[in-house]
Amino acid sequence: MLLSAVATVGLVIIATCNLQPQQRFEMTLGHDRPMITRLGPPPRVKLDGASQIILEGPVYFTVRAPHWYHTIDVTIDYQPGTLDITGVGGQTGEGFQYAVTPITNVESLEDGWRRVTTTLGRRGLYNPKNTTQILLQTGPGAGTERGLRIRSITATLSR
Amino acid sequence: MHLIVMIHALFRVIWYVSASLFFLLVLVEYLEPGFVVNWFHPAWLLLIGIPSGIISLHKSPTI
Repeated sequence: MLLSAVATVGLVIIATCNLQPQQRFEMTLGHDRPMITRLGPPPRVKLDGASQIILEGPVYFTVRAPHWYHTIDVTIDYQPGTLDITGVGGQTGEGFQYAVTPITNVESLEDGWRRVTTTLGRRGLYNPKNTTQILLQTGPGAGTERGLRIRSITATLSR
Repeated sequence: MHLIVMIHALFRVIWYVSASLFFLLVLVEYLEPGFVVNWFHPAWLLLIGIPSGIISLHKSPTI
């Protein structure tokens, strides 16, 4: 009886998590989580304390969520060095096929970091087994530090 | 009922509940990838259920 109650509560919690209007997944830099992976491929990124340095672009990560979440807002807090973020895109087919959206709305934060939010529509993208691969495109930056420093990446999925 | 017989019965219930829940969650995960595994991995149920099942297979001592 008690076990059935615990199981039912567990099922309700899982269902509630998946039926919310929005899901917000924050990347744990350097670690894979079930809903959002780390940045890769590994030779192009380096973990440096609480932040991650992109040494070479493009880099990728994957988000997994049920198919009824149609929009992904990717928010990146970063500091440009010799590289800067130029676009964010989603995979549209097998292999290297990405629809990259150039970034335009860069916001300067009070603590010197920059924030960019890009909205990707999930419907036109390639979503095998509910996973969406997202690419960060880089270009030359104006800074002196090697690469590009990332503080956080958040994917907000909306229905 | 003797305590040890009750414990055997409890382990049997744990086995049935966790195994049936495991198959239910695997089915849901197959139909909608990420629905379950994003929040809870069903393998934990087997980790609890299999030892309970093995214990409950042993003949309950009748005292």
